[in-house]
Amino acid sequence: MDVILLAGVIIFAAFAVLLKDMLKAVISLMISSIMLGIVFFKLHAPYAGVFEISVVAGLIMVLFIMTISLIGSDADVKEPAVPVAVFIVLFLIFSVVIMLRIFCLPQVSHQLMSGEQMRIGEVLWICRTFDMVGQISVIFAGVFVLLAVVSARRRNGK
Amino acid sequence: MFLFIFVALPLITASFMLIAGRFSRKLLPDFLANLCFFLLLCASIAISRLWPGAGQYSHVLKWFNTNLNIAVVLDGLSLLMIFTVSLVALSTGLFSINYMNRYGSKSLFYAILLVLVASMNAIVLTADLFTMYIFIESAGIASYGLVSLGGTKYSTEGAFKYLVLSAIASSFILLGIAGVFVSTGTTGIKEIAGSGFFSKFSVILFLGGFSLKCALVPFHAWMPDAYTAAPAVLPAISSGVFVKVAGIYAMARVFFNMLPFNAEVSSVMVYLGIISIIAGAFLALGQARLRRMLAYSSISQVGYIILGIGLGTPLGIIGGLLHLFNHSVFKALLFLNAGAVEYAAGTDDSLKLGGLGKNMPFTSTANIVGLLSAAGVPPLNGFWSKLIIVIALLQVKMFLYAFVAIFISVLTLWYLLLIQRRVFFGKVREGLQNTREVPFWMNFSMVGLGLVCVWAGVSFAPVILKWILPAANVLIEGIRTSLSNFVIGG
Repeated sequence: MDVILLAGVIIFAAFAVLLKDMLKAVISLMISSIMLGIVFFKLHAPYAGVFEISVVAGLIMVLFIMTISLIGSDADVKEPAVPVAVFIVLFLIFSVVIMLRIFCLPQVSHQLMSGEQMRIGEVLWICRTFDMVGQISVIFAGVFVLLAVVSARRRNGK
Repeated sequence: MFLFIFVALPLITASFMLIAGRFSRKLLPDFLANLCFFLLLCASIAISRLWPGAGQYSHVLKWFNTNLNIAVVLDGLSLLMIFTVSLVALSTGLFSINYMNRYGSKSLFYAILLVLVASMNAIVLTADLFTMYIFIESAGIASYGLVSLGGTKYSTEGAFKYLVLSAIASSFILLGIAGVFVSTGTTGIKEIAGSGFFSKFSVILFLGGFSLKCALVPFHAWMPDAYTAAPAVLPAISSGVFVKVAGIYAMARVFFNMLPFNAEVSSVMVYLGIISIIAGAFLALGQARLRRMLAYSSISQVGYIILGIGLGTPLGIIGGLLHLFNHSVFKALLFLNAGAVEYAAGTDDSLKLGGLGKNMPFTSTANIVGLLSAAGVPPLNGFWSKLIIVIALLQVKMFLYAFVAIFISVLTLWYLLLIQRRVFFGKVREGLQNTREVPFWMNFSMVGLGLVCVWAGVSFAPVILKWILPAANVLIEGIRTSLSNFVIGG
């Protein structure tokens, strides 16, 4: 299963570079970093995993999506049919893998919580609760800003 | 639990804002957002009254019998920042009631503004470096959104420039945090301070990152473009408080309360401060557009704050923090004034304006108060903070720097008076005869901030005793701890 995760990290990192559609490339990077976060967690580095998921899969994605919307490159991009099909198939397969891994992850000893055994969700929710509030805030900001950009463009007839 | 309200209340209000916008396009969003800002201001004043004035308060929240690790810390410095954020947020919120009618969806605008305020409050209240980083990013994203609300090519360009440079700053800060975490195994500010960790590499990264966030020269390129392109409320709240929270506050917290403050860090801060004072003022001289000129003026004034705090002496820190509060108030006022001029006359290009004072007496008077305060004219608030910074410079025998601080203050008075004369005095320009004073809430907000400038100037002693001294003590205590560790460690 670890090999599948590592393969997923590489495949989706490659998609992030190769895909012409910016939005799909960003989604690929997000999937890649979520799987990398799980790998970190399995290697008993829960904080590294949580930071990877928080920063790369959460924060930077919002920044990328905002940038795409600001520069207006979310218009139609002609992508060859084969990469799109491969992307969709692998996206579905690895989404299932990610879900399975998150729910089946072993508990890890958390050195900062005096050796207490914790799952990835507990590390996020109990140890880093304020970060979770921060992520909610980032998502709010991203969504509102995207809506505002779209609304401003519509208002100016672009 | 009570302290977490400063983060939770604006976030919850923001989440209801889009629904509120469905029921009422203007009235309900205006009411909800400003009620939230008013409650936050009341809460910050209430805490200052109840607060005994020393120590820190940590809260661990409970959620269905589970302890959630939301460590919210309040000391003199965070209390000062919370109060300043709430005051400027309420002023810009009230100003927006009339001003933002021209910029599309008000519910979206208020939602972004509320997220920005929640993020700033969280930066100030958190006791964890990584959490601080996440909220700096969240506030940054909200700021880009406010810049892009203009909807023009220039606002998109300004937002993009801001986003790119801010992302570089964030990378610096994140790398700095990574360095600290690798060495200490924690991101808690208190725990890092306790470990005695110091690394020049991390110091350089933090300095670069935070200097970019507060637009110190030579990291200032984003500010003039972003502030000129955005609706006037963005520069008012960004220059007023965001730059202070994400740049100056974070820098002070890291260098005084987390890493050991030493002579090298002090020297770099003083150099950055003095260069920003000079460059910002000279760049402001040649500007015709009000907001662009005020953006450069902000760079210069932030230089004063960094110069004062960077000195590391008690008087310097008090002067720096007092100027932080004062600059938040008078610069927010000046940016709102610029917005009012643009609202009434259709432009903020001073070369196309003239004689507006006759038709806009409130805006003109508020602008005079703001500019005199910015230039450090007694008895307004800006005078006392600049005076304390100059005395602090003389105390450590930095005579040349003291002279520069006074000279640039006179220069500031000159270019701001020039703008006042060009825009508000003299004959009314052709095409501007029918210009009218701006609506009630815009005036109310500007006059309110003008009164705060006068109040903080006239009663500067109580302001220093109640707000500034407890904040300065937090930083002075940090230096004292660094020194005692240095002596014990040899």
